[in-house]
Amino acid sequence: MTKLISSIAICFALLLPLTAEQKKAKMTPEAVELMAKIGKASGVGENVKKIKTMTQKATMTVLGMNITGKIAIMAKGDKMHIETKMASMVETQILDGEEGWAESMTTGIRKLSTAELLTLQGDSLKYMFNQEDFFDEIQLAGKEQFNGEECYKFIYIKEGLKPTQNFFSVKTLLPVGEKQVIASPMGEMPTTVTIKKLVKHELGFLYPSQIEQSMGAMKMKLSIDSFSINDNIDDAIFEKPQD
Amino acid sequence: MKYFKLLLIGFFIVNQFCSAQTSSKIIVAYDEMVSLMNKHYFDATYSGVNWPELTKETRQKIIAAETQEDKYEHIQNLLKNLKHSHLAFNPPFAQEKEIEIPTGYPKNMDFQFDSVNGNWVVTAVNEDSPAEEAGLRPGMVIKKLNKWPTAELYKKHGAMAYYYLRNTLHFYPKSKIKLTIDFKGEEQVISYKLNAFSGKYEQLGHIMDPSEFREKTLDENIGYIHFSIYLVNPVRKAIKAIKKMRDQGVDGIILDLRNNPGGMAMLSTAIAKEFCTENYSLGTQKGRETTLKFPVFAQPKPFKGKLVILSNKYSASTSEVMAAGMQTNKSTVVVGEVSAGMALPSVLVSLPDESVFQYPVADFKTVDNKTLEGIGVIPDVEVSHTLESLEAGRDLYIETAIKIIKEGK
Repeated sequence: MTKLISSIAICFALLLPLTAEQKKAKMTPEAVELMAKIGKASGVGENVKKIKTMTQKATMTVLGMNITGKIAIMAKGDKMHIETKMASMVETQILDGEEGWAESMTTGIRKLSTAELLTLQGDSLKYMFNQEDFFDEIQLAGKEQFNGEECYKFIYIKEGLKPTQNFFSVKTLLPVGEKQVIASPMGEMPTTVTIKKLVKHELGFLYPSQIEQSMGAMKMKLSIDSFSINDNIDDAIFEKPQD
Repeated sequence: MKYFKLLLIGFFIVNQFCSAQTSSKIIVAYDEMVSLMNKHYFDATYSGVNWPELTKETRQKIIAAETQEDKYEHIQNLLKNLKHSHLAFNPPFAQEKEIEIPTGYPKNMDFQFDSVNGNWVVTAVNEDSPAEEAGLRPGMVIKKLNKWPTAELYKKHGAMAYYYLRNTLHFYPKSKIKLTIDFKGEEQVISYKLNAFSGKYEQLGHIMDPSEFREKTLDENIGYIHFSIYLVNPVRKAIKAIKKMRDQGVDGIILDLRNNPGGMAMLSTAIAKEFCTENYSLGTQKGRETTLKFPVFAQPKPFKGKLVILSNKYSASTSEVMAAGMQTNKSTVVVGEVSAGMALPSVLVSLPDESVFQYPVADFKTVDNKTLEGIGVIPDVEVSHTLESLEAGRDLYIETAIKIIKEGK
């Protein structure tokens, strides 16, 4: 479930532009220039500075297996609260800046591992619009076919995380998917996310509303049910879960 | 084949039967099945058979076959070559012809049974149930279910027969059951009404099962918990019961996994964590692309007393994962018989012809790298029912577990 959770945020992050201004991530001028074009194609610019909180709700379906679930993500600055309901089970992940916890029937309350924490931090609102401040390096790795489409391939690198490959259509410059190795308590899971549909927010940017995610023999579909910004989110939901 | 094979793997039963399918749909389904196997089947050697050649031959046979039954039989014959558990192709119609097809809503069996020396023997009967009122008691040998001789089932299906019989009883299509019984050499007929299932009928995707749960505190201040399948509700109840027993200060807990066919694999960690003082893993599942752990996280207030897990030859899949994984703890003792040896993590998918296909995507290994598939969990203390003990109303498993807890061994 953890993979699904982050995939919504990750895909959203794909849309974000990198400015020409010098940031933390090491990038070639060619990569900076191309990323700026990608951001423009996705309608992302000064408008995103108006976003203070973000709430996403989605339905997930495990394809071929008759299993459905719900995900709700609430993000505010460097805090996130993610709740996944599937098969009568609820899993909660919480990020509160430099700390994070998870709670589920299978694990009880536990601290997030370093890799899990980093993944959530990268997906948080703080870095969602500043990916170049989160990653150590973003490489433009040429062109590659993804989901039958010729794409620019970017590799996002961060110490403590496996590199993520992000793909953008050469034709439209829009994001089409990513390949990532996701950290979980069970171990590392290679996963491929394909963006099936993008919709335009009233602020003018595009965000993925339908996503497919493959992990080995499992294939899941996510459909965003609602996407809202600047809802009033109580900080209490970002506190450590209690026994 | 449909019912018991699916239940065995501990994942599900499917009780929707569809109308006839066209030949082309079967071929499309077959091609998808082969594609899934080629990508994700855990054993890249396919048990040493020439998989590409066999699949090609089977495709030709399916095209040439005249009836749908024959077409599906070719698919099932192909899978039999691999000789692994958790591998089942279940067409959208019933395959079994030897007994009425169980299509009814689930019913209370009201008794437990086991195979003792090749006979099906009643091991426990629910108190105040119609079965008890009709005179059913432990030690009775079930010779016939209506006119159907149950011994034939064992001869034909071996260990799988238990799940078939259990499921047949749960989904018996008639409201009254007639059992021909042998008790201490005397044959009698016991007939009683099957009530609608009083427990929780739970479904997760293609997994559906009437889940049973029992808990009690024995006179010896020992907690006893039994649940019939690893689905969310019974496991949630088990966790609650463990916490309650911990707070009551019981001397030990008996977790009865006899006849438990498994279910959702990760729920094994949900229970194991309630006994966990330091993080560990129950084992690993090794697939083609990944090796994943079954992590168990230490809890702030775990139960620290002795745990005895009861296991028998019908404890399968997730039951085996948990028993084998927890067996490494000094405070856990596994009592009973060698388990089923069917412990391959698997997935179930619908195919275009509405068949449901289950296939293993990983091999489970214990922390000391032992496989359970085809071997099973070896108990620390071996115990089996005997006809004599059951006739005397004794449960040797529970007696042994109580002794172990009381003696602190």
